[in-house]
Amino acid sequence: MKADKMSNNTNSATSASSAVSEIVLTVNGISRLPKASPSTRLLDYLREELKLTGTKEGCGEGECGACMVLLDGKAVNSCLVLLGQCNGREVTTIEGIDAPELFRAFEETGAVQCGFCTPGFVVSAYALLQKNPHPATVEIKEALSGNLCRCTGYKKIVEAVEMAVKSKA
Amino acid sequence: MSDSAKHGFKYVGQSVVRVDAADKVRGAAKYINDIEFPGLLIGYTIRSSRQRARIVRMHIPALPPGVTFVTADDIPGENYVALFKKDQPLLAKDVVNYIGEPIALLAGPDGDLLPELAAQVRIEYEDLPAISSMEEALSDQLPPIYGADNVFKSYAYVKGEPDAALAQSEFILEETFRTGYQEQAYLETQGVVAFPYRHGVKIVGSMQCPFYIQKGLAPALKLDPHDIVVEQAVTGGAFGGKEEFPSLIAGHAALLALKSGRPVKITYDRHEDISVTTKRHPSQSMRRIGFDKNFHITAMDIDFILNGGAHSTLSEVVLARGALSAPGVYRCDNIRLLARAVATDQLPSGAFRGFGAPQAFFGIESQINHAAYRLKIDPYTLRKKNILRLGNRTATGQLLKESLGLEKALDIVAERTDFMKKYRQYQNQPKNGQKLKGIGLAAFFHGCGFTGKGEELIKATASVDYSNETGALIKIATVDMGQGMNTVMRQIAADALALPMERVKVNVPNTAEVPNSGPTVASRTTMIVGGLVFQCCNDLLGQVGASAGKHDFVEKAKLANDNILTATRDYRVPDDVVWDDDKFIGDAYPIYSWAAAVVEVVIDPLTFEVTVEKITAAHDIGKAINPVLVEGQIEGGSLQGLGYASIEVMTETNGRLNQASFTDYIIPTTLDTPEMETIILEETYSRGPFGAKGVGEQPLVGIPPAYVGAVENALGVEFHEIPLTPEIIHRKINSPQSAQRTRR
Repeated sequence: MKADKMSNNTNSATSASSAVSEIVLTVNGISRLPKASPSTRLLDYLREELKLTGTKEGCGEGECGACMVLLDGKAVNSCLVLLGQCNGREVTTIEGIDAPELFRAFEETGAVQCGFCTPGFVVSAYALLQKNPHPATVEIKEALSGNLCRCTGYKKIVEAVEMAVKSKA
Repeated sequence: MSDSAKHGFKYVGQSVVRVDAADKVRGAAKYINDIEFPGLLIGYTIRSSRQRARIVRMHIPALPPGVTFVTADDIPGENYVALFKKDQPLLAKDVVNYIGEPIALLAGPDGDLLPELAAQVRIEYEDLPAISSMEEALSDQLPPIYGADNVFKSYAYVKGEPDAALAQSEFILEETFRTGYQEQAYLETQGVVAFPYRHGVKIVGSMQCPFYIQKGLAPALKLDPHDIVVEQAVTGGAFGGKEEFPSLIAGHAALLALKSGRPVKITYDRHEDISVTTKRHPSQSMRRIGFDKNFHITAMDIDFILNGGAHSTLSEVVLARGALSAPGVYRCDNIRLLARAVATDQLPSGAFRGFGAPQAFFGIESQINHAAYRLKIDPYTLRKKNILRLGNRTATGQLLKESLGLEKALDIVAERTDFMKKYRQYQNQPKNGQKLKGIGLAAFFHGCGFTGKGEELIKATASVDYSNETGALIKIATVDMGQGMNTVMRQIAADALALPMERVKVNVPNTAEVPNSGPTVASRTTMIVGGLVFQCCNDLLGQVGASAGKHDFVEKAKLANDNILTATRDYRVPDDVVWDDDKFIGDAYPIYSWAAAVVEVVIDPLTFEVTVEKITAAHDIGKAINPVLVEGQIEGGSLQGLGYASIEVMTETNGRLNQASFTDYIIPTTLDTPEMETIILEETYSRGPFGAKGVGEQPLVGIPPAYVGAVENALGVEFHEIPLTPEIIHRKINSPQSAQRTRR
């Protein structure tokens, strides 16, 4: 919606000279000049302007983690980040995460049910494993405690991360 | 097919990876908010700010071009959402009966502008005296909301001679139990898109029951049901919350779409979703139970009340399941039961996993735990003396003929947790400021499929097509909302036809393309719908002269012809399953799943903070078609049950909920989750596909009494309500009466 409002004011997202905002950010390795205003939530920019719909909105207030993305490698709730805060920074969404062993582990352990929370969990798990390739179970639980899942009871999600750790080793 | 295990099927009994996992993990699955609709308008709902009032008049501001406004006057047909009764309006016209009741709708291209516009719609009310509690609903002091007595539905029956049996009992326990609201808290909020389509409207959205929406909206939209085409989008959790509620929001989107001629999307943000969608019915159970000197139950007298809120929704069937669960898993020849669902000026209550059973089982199982303590016998042994066994009859007189894993479940959880030893040990642990340990037990069942005549009324139909070119196509209206239905159905059909699973597909649940296999509810999907799919596959074998044992379907089908083969089956209630709904007698369900659970806790004696260390749960669910999916149901359901029992506090003040976000309505996170050990018991059911029964709801049902039992074991104090918070524990321990109630 916010992207629509701005769409009359600008030409091409790739043309630096004509961009309305002076924000430049990298999303999944591609440099972007957003049409959306700096006050747009990062979540809305990703979903509406870039059509990266793997990032979900579950609560809009940073409680559920369904909108988790990496901002300079750190897992953040994209509903709490404004586009203006992303200038010069690197955003990675679920679509930009290359972690076959993590994907496979989530599939095979049964960590996925309705799937709405799943991309957020994968992003949080990926951020953890980048920082700490061999986390203890308690560290996994801690790292995933900002993500809510109502289906699984979390057991298989934690097992999935443990399995990914083992398969990488 | 109960000996399926011996046949070594390729898929059934295997933890096949779910077919939708790869897309979901990568964020590629398209939920309703991820799908693009050209020319889409956004819809917004204008709601009552009053608990109970007459709508005197509505002032409508000048509307900008392109904005559509809808009130009850725009409803082409009759103003109600069709379900059991006709009492719920699609949009309130003259009166409102709860805060948040929909009154008018807006749609426009820029959704961000709609709240400001809505704020300019001024509604004048004349307040009426509101009914704010179950007690007020039954008090005769206020004008009724529903009927003459405010009772949506009641069931009453007497079996044997409860008064005489109680009078002769050695020991009687009389207690009142209360349970609160629970929010489904599916991670994907409610959302639908409606657009004009052929002679009517098409609805796509997040839902459990496509045909409920079609049937629910036909009278209001004044359309032939076939002109309302409903299709499920990938659904991000439901738990009952997307059983009946989507009919209301789909109706709103449809009204806006038909008036504007454009596609209209209504999605709720979390605040709106929590504030206005249905919840688990709050309940009150006044119970008396008697025992003889041998610790056998002599009689039960149960008065069970559910708070239905302002409209009847599914309350009558929730009530039926609650009433049937209220006597628990025990033999008892003398029962008086009165069960009522009452109307209040509060949010309509509705379906939620367990459907009345969690409320009822909290009462009976807590009471058994309390009786055990008072009778100085342990809760395991007291249950063993009273549980239903093969050849016994249930409270409604149903003869239990097969597939009854209750005793096994009870034995295995007691053994794995060393229950009896810990129970005694914790009962006698010193209260010297050290952390206190506790262990609690519950035994429970869940009737599989619809209650009573439900399956007879729905007449579920499924069909399976087969073509040599594309393989098998399962056509059912049953949805995958996360439980894994799509995978389980493919496993069933693939093994029944001896096909590779890749050669079996499931049609998108779309009312124009699939027969009505009924709603995705009541733990009926695998057993009832899976059973129909299995029968369809057998019919296909027969059509080409193939046989199950020979694995020759593909060859025989090639020889048969190049056309599409089709088999269709309607569910027939077996002749020996007989239920009388008026007398509340007979076979309430075709079969039951059975379970026992143990919860172990540690309590801080200063703050009364309860840490759950472990849940051990054993579930007899017949054949587990996909064990990992079954474990997922047990683990997820157990945790929802634990949340319901402990931290999920939802309260209201004069009809307004005090919680409206995940900040104040807390659901368990990884750090609140205990170790969970799940044990699957497979007492196969002769009429289930490969021996399967139901599993979806049962895991939640018995956790609250096991949790409360564990807290009681640790503290030596009895409790009668959930959620049982540290504040309630503190109040009880420090209340003046606690001295006499404290167990010594």
